[in-house]
Amino acid sequence: MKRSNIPRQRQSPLAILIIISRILINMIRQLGVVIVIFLLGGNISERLDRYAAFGFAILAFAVIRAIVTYFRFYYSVANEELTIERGFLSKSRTTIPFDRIQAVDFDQSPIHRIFDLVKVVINTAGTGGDEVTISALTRAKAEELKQSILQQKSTSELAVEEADILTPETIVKHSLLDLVKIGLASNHFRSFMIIVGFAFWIFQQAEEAQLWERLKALLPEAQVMTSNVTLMVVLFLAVVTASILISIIVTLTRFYGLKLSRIEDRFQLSHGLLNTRQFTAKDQKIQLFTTVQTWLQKQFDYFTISLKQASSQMVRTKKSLLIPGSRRDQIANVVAALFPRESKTYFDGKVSKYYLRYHIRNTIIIGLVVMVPALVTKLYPYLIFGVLIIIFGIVGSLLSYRKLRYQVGENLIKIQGGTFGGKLAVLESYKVQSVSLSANVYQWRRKLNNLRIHTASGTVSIPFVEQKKAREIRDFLLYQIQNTKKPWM
Amino acid sequence: MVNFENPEIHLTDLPVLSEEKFLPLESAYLTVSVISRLLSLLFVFTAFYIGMHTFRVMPEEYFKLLPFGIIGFSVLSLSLVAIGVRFKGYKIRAKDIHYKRGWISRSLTSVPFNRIQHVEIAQGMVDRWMGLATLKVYTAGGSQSDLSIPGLTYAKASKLRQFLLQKIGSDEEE
Repeated sequence: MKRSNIPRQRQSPLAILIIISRILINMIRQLGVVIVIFLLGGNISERLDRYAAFGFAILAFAVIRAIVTYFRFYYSVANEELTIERGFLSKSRTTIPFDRIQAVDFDQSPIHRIFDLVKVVINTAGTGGDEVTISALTRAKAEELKQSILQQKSTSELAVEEADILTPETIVKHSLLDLVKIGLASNHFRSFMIIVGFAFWIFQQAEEAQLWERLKALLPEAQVMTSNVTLMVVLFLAVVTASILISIIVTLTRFYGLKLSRIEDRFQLSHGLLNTRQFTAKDQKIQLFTTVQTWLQKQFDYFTISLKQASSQMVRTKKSLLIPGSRRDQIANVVAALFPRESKTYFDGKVSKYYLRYHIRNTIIIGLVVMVPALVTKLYPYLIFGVLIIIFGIVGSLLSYRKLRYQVGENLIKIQGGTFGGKLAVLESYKVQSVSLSANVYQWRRKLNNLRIHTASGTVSIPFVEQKKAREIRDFLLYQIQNTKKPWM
Repeated sequence: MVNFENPEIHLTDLPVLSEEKFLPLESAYLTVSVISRLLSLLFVFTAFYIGMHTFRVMPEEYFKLLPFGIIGFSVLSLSLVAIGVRFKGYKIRAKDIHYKRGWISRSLTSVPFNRIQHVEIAQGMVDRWMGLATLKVYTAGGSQSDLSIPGLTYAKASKLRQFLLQKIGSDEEE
């Protein structure tokens, strides 16, 4: 195989444009309030002058900085290392060995797209700086860099035969209609809260402007009174419709053109309407596979897959690949690709029945506590809240108790759960970092443990396992980890 | 193709971690943890009391009772710390390290040597007075999976650190 070194070079000259836009956006973000305060005030003619001067100063600053940044930025590849030099006043030279690189992702903002440029984001493992970005490369250059990193990586790690043309195999692809459905099935509560928050803000503003008094003066009072109930219903329906619409729009812009494909030993995911992003995840780097299904998604039979990659800090959404709206057969394909080896199952069980008792007991306590104020103040209709909490809690505990199930095998750990929807987590046992058993008073008095399995991209836990079994699983996992030569990353 | 050796595992043959015979922490650690807790209680409650005194948010009759509340809370907190010390302990086997703690809510964390990222010795102010140190063992699994053993003599902590570093090193050479 030819060694694909890349000589020391700058980015695409168009990077200057990209850097200018980035600096401007950053400045507006950080100085937003200051700018507004500065711009408002004074009379209009004064203000116009000030706008011009201010705008010019900012633009000049951004242009100069961008040009300096561009000319001082070099990247190169040699000896299986990526070197990045940058900085004007304080120069820095970063060298990243390929085996420290987790993933090479491509990002495109609308400006990138006009010129067919690509922002390259290189994620590295380690406690220090966790990513390096190259603002703008032409697509060809970006591909060259990515191939150079990934190919040398696979030759050093796996000695894969050279394949000149890599044909990615598509696993998931969403059409526009799919995305609308996914939007419909998404979490509307968030959009709802946004609208409520916004409405509250508007209301406050209106209050301050004494808008209500003026409105009341305009409208006959009787009319306002009679239309109150209908108004509430109409308003509620409007808010609900708006939140669903917002969810659909958010889903569309974020996941437009979603495509998950597989090349050799890695997954590739790309999506986005305004900012197109392309993520790569090598099997070896994926520590945890999960699927989640909310109650609403269950009605559509949709799942959200996430492939969580290693990170030494807290798991951030950035390091996990999210694939919403996946179907069962697509999940099966991802699982088959990710976990090819069948494994013998050593432990297969459900959680203790005390899980149910404990949660029902807690629900009843909380429900009763909520009822106390209603009883004291003799406002009996409010008892309904306590009753609702108890009913909801008991149904929830029952459902989640029935769904919780774990399997620990030779290679794989599987944990199923969920309350109104469903959850699944699968991981390879040699990727476990450490194991802990914990118990609160209720649990240790009944010889029960929570088993927590820590991986480099998060913790999965099995609650209420009989102590004996929990210890056996712990001992088994420790044995497995200690007797593997496979690097977890 | 690598020849995989893949013998069947018999669960009964696996090494079992016995939860007894964990090594206790140094007896001076009791003093250290009580003093540290005392200092932080002192700091927090002084600030709280001064705040309450200056801004007078509390009704006068409650404010008079405040010192008793503070003392009661402190005694409770200190005795919990003192009891907690007796439940802390660690164990080192040929291939892993374990730390357990907790009286009311208990936990036991196990870290295999071949998953340790790095090892560190930390010494707080009170630790230094008493010549104690905390050994911190980091894995890639984030703060939840890390293990830190307080109440070791500094000499013991650095010996353990050397031992663990050597273990990690020999692991990587294989």
